[in-house]
Amino acid sequence: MSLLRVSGLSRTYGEHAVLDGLDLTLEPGQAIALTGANGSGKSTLLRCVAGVDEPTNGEVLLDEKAYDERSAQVRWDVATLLDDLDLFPDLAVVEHLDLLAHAHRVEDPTGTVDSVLEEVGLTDQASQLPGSLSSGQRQRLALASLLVRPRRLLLLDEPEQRLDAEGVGWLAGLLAREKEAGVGILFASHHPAVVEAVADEVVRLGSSPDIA
Amino acid sequence: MSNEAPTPAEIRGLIRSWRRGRATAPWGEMLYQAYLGLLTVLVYGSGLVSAVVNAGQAVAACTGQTCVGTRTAGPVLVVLIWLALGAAVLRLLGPLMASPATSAMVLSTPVDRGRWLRRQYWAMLVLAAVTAAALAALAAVTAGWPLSTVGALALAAAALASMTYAAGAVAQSRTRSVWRMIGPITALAALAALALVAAGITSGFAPPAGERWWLAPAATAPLAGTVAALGHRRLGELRRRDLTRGHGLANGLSGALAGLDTALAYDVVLQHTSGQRAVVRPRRPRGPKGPLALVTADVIRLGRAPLRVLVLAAAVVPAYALEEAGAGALTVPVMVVIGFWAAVPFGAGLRVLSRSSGLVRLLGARSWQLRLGALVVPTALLVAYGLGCLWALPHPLLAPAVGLGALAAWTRWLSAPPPDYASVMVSTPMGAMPVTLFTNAARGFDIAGLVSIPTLFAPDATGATISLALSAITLAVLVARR
Repeated sequence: MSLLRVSGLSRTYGEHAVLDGLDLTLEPGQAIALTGANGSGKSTLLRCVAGVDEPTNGEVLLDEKAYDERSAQVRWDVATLLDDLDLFPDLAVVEHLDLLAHAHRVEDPTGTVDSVLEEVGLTDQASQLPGSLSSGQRQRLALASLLVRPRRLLLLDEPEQRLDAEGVGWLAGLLAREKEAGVGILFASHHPAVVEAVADEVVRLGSSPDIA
Repeated sequence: MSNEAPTPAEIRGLIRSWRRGRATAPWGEMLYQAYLGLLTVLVYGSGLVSAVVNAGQAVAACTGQTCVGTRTAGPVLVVLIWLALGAAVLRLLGPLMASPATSAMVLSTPVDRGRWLRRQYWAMLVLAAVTAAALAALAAVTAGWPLSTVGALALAAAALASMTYAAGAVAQSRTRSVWRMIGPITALAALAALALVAAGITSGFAPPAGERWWLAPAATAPLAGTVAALGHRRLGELRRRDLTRGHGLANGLSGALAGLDTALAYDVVLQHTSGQRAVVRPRRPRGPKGPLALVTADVIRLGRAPLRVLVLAAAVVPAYALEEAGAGALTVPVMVVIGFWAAVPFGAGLRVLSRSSGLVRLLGARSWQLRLGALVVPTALLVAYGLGCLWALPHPLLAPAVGLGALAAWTRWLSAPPPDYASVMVSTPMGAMPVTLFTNAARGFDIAGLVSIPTLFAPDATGATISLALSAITLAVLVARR
């Protein structure tokens, strides 16, 4: 049984079709990279899958059932990193991660959060408020928010953005480990090295020349 | 790991425990602020009570048939207009909202969404009911209704307001829902009531008395309870995107209003509504060139939102209601202000040209020429609006005076520059603030008052001519300034 199935997905703005009858199937432990020029529909596809945007046509199935982000089970299974992440200005880095771990009833929230902080390199920033983080550190915090919680599917929109060269290499290794753990990954990327290291399949969107 | 999500109370407790002890205001400061708050409530509260008592006495002095009829209808009109405005605002904001951080950090988790939203839902429902009841009671007491029917109206208003809020919540998750009609229905009800007053149908009515008026709350309360229960049940059906949509708007609006910058609040709403629409069918007609190309742009805008013209046309109805109530020359300032506000949706062109110089530079004409171009369509609309009030005014020349006065107030409001923080500052309990910040709040109304004063003293050709001259001078100054 496929983890995620997208069938005939279309998204149009007026007469302009950003996505036109797109199909894809993602198995557990598989990674699909979405590539294409700016405006080719990568983020739109991820937003439609995640329920943040409404497709004009088509369906999205998770475990062969309609994907509905209003279902608590879907929220258990799917971790998303899109462009809509926001943080509480008055809660520290570690408190954001504690909140997510508690909200998902992680067994050892403190231990899990501490190890994730170390993994993403934010241990020294644990007590900082979000406003004092650099853009790269905010991105690492966003990635950490995916790791402190259970997940079977990752939906990631350019996860490598704002990371330094070392961080991009670390991210590729992290996503490869997620795949090995059986997590399905659907991600959009402009970074050839990340696509090459992680993706089992590349879906090119739009008609413009592409990097992959 | 348990597969049962924590309750909203657990998550709220967690967040509260982190926030505890982070307050930066000392106790002394908090007590001082509480004292100031209490004092403000007492001063304004006593003022309000005194105003209501005085107004009630003044209204009671008028015993003519028209006066009594309008007094009878007044409180019902106030409630209906309040409901229509409330429904429009609720539709714009949500009515249920979640901050982007709550959306990302709480609503993305398996925590029960319906239970998380319950507190906000019921708090707002009660607030809507209490506000409407207070307003209805104030209006009815001022109008000299007997106390027994004041209570009936207040309860009915509370029920209708909570039903309006609950219907908004039910419709929030559905693009096509019959519940979305609550906005148009309340607007039409308010307009119909105004039209009844304007047509003189209420002139024979006497203030309601007797127990039969308690049928109104008795009929509306069960309905409100049913819709409220339906809204409660559907809270879990709301999507994250439904909840975050209004929060950005509310944040932008509160920022703009904190700076008393109402024109900036208009920018925020315009940005929000345009963002919601996302796509339009582009039209590329052959129109005039140069600054007059802005006329074509305004005509295109009119074609995209013809309902706005209908709203402006409907805005003349209060003039006839005021005439029926014997308002006389007072009709002019009221209609100038109503026209100014009803024309606000036509201000996108002038506003964008006024708030920054970037587009003015790009368009390559002098700024006064561009402002004139952006004024052509609104001038035509507001002059037509003024003429629509013709038969309700004491003198025919007052009709163009109303239209041009509304245009002058509208132009003054829309062409407001942002507050200048480099200008003279005054000391306030909230810190140093530029003087221009305070004048911003009165912008538009100051001109509405200025152009109306001559017509109050002389509601004839002389007053109208002076008013027209003042409007023309104001417009010339606003258009010509650099």
